[in-house]
Amino acid sequence: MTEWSTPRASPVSLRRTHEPLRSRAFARNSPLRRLDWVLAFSVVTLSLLGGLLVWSATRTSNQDGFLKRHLLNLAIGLLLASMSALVDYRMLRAYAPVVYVVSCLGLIAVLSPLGDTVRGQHSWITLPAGFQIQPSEFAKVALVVGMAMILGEKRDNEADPRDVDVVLVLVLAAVPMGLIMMQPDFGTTMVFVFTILGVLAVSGAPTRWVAGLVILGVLGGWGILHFDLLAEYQRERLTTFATRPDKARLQDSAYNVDQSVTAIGSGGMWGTGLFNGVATRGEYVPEQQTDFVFSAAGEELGFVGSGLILFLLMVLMYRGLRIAANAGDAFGMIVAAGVSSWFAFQIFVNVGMTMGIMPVTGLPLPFVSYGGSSMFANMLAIGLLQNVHMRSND
Amino acid sequence: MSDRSRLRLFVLQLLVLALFVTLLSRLWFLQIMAGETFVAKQEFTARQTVQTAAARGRILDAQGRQLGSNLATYVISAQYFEFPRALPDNARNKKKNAVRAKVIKALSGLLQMDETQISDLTTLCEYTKDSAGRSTLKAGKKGVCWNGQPYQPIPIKRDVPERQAFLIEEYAEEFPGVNATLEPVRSYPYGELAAHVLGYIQPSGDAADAGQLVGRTGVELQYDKVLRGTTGGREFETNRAGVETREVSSTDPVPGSDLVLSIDLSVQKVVEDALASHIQRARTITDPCQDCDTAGQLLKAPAGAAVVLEAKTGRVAAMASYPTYDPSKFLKGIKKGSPDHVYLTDEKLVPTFSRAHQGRYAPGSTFKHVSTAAAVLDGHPLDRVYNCPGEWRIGNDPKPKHNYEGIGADGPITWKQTLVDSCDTVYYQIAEDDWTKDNNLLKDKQPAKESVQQMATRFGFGAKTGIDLPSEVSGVVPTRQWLREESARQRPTNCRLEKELPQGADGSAERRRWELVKDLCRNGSQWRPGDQANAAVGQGYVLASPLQLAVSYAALVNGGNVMVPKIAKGIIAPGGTKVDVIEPELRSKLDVDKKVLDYIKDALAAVPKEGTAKCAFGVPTATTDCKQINYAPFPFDELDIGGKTGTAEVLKKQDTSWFASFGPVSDPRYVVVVMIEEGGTGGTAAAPAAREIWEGIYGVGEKRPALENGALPTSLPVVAPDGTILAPGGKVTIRPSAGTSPSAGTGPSVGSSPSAGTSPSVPAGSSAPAVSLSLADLPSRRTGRVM
Repeated sequence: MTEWSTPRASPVSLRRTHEPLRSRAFARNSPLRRLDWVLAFSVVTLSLLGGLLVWSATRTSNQDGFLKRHLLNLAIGLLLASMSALVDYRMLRAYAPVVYVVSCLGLIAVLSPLGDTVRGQHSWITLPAGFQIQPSEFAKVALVVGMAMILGEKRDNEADPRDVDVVLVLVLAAVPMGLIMMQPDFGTTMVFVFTILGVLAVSGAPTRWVAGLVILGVLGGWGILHFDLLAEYQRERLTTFATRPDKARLQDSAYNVDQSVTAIGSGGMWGTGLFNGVATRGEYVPEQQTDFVFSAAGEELGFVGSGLILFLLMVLMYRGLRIAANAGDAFGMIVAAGVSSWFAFQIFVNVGMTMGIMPVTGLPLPFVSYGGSSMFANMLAIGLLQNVHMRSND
Repeated sequence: MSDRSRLRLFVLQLLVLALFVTLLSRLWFLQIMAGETFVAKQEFTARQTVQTAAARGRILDAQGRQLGSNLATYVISAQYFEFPRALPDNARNKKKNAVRAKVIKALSGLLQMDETQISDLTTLCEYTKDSAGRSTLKAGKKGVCWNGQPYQPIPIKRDVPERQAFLIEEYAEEFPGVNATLEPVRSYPYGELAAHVLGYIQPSGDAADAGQLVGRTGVELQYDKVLRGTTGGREFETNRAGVETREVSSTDPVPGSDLVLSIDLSVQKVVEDALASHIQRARTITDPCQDCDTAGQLLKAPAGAAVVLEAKTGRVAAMASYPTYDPSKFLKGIKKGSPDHVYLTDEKLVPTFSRAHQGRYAPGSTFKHVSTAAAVLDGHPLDRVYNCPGEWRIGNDPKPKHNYEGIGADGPITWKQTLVDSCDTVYYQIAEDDWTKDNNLLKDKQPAKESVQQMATRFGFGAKTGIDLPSEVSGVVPTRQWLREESARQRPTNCRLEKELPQGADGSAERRRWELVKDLCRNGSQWRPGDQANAAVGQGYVLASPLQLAVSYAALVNGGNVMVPKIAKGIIAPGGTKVDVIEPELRSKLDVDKKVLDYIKDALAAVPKEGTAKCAFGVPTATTDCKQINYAPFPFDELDIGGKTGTAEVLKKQDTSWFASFGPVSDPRYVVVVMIEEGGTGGTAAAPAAREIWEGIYGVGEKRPALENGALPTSLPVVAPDGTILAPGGKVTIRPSAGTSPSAGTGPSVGSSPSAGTSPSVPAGSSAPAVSLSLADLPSRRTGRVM
């Protein structure tokens, strides 16, 4: 037995050891009982708040169309979350390669003629019924599961991942990352970098790798910020995939940030009240129902409301990292740490972007922003967290 | 879990916490610390206001006739978001562009406008930014595309006939986004009549007024605040595209108050006609000045002014200046090269210049009521006689000063005869005396008396009369002190001219001029006997406006009250809810013995009958002077008039003709002052004009009186809640914008009661809330009929 199966000296664990094995098994088969209710509550609350904000941002020109679809996405998402929570994650290990390959195929499809461009990003596949899928969202889940498979397998016998494992992980990650960079979607790429970094660090990989990745991450971040300066020659290669010249896009994002910051700032302490935001009602902030949804919260709900959203997101992060800490095995821990790193980075970049302290990269705010693929991928990830939680020795 | 993992997980937790702290701090900064700025910025971006101009208050004459009113005109405008928009020309937009073309074609047919013009007008101006960040107009030419905000109505055509406006409304589906709305437009139904009193309005250049029309001169400027009303407006939020999303606030405009003038249109008409016709007539008369350079030439008479004052109250019954102008020409702006451009460029005449209160002229002998009063108080009593030689040499002047028109009596004459014949030499002698006495006082280090100047100041000369009109002049009462200051100001110029000007031959005009300049440079500040003599007969440095002279004559005949002349008589709030009466105002008392004033008044009463104005009043005379000015006898038994002629010498110009009159002599009601530039002697041009004014006011002979019983109404006209105006006494109901509108082309009829017109109208009080007004308190209600 490794340290993972050794009961720890926590009161909860101690109490549990006195219970008969059967009753423990019974308890384990009752997922609701072991569900992380705080996590579930914050996710659902965030999604519902998101629904209100999406509604507010779109009702001027679309009545309640976006609200309905957001709620539908939420319903489907909850279903997906339940599925990913209920299947024992240790069985998921077997499917990890499949999930990985499918998501890579999806990313390849984006670059094929099947791919479509939305808001200047060539990240979508249009399905027959008019639905659009953004495979890079699902690739995040696949990446987390894939990395957990590699780093978690070995851990049953050996203490920490070896160099070989790290290299394997990087190779594994390189394929979807390369495909995503070709879209080009730097936001998602950076999410990948940060997720890999988090996973490798928590998995106990050698420090040099972690340090190296930190440097890479910093350089990458700098690259995004200074993309305009860096990439005169690089861009020529990349713009074949982008439909609009980058300069125009940058001008757009400057306008976007200006409007978003103004909207948030004008919210003050209490906000204008839902549906009463001047900027939100007047649709002054482009993409307000998706990437810039936090500006609607800032304007209409004020510091109190948008602070509450940040608080709920913080709760979500806290629970995620707690699940990682209490995971039953290395695989679970890495899955939870990966999901947490991914969310943490995405939340920070998204909210920071709406407040003008991070560059504009097309990243949605988990659960709050409108968007099916993002909602589904996030829900799958939450399902995984719940899965790990239910099967932890907590 | 390895310790390393545990540690790193802990670090990750700390990192996540740090990220959230960062976000929360930024949120705190944006919303709590800098929130106010962003609220302002957001409002600046999203809040818009559209102002609604308030109907300007009407200007009424004493009888309630509208001198300034508001015509309702139709303006056709397009709402950008409702009017079919111009879309890029491609297959997808073909249908929509065809709809637009159809609407524009229909509009152009109806409004008789160019199709491309309508198309351009309904297109927003586009700008491109260059590398330096400067915006330049992209599509369309300046002023052709719509340079305003898209939520503002785009005016396509103003002042559109009613029929076209009705068609637009009736076939609304044919003209999507096109509206016909009523717009009040200032109109001056009587055209040029009383233009200098009314003034004119123009769009304000002040950003705060947002292009509102504001008064520029006349009562339009003086009472601008009263007349203007309060602009209404709508504040609303717009979305990013500029479409209105929500109304924030809306206030209705409050129309301006109506201003009642003491001017009586009928009198004004009489005055302007008399002034104009006698100016025309003067141009056919040979200059009567025998020894002038212009002797034998026709009089030029380019301009003039006339004032009719109510003697006791100082109210202005009429005030005119010639040449005049049409104030409505200023509404649309005057383009360079248009015939109206002369209003702004003709430097010599400047029709907009009100000579009655803005012009400064030497008053000549009309000033003698002042010098007589001064002399009597200064030791030249009324019961003594004085010598009136034909000429008088003052001091060491090489050239003697002589009387006009060869007047000169061999024997001594009374003060009365002095005034009647306007004997200057009497005043010269007294002036020389005065000068010597003052000089002696100064030698004894005592202040000079300057009795004529002091008396002039008491009569109101040398200072603004305080009339409620802008840009009044003060005139000049020359004292030693004044001359010192004035010559110090002019000395550098005169000394420069002395060096620059050619000296010329002895006795030539050039030499005379040079000697004058030389003298002014060296001894300009010296007050000499000649200066005193000039001042005594209203010449030299003495300058006064016709209005000042009228005020002084009113003081002479009303028992010594120097009144502040008033143009406005009352202010009536919209709907007649509140009436402010502007009361007559006493400026000062003359403090001259009533006996002296009455003596002068009675003496002047003889001037039209036997004195310098007798020709103008048709009194048979043996002399041949009246050849050029042949008038029928004036019925003095019907209307007794007194007055004083004035003939003021002006350097390089023909004499200014003055007549200051009052009547009826027994208890004077009015003072009439007429001044005609380069009009010859007072009896030549000004006195006949004044006579015609008197005849017009009282209806002498066959003439219809402008004023019934010769009296101005004592009460104000009444404005009913619906804006209807009732004349004082309630005899005539004057509908808003009565049918005297100039659009009829036949010219306004003054003197008859105006009939109702058919043109659409905006009564100033129409949008005011209906108030229950106790009309029983108002004078006109008793007999007047309310519409």
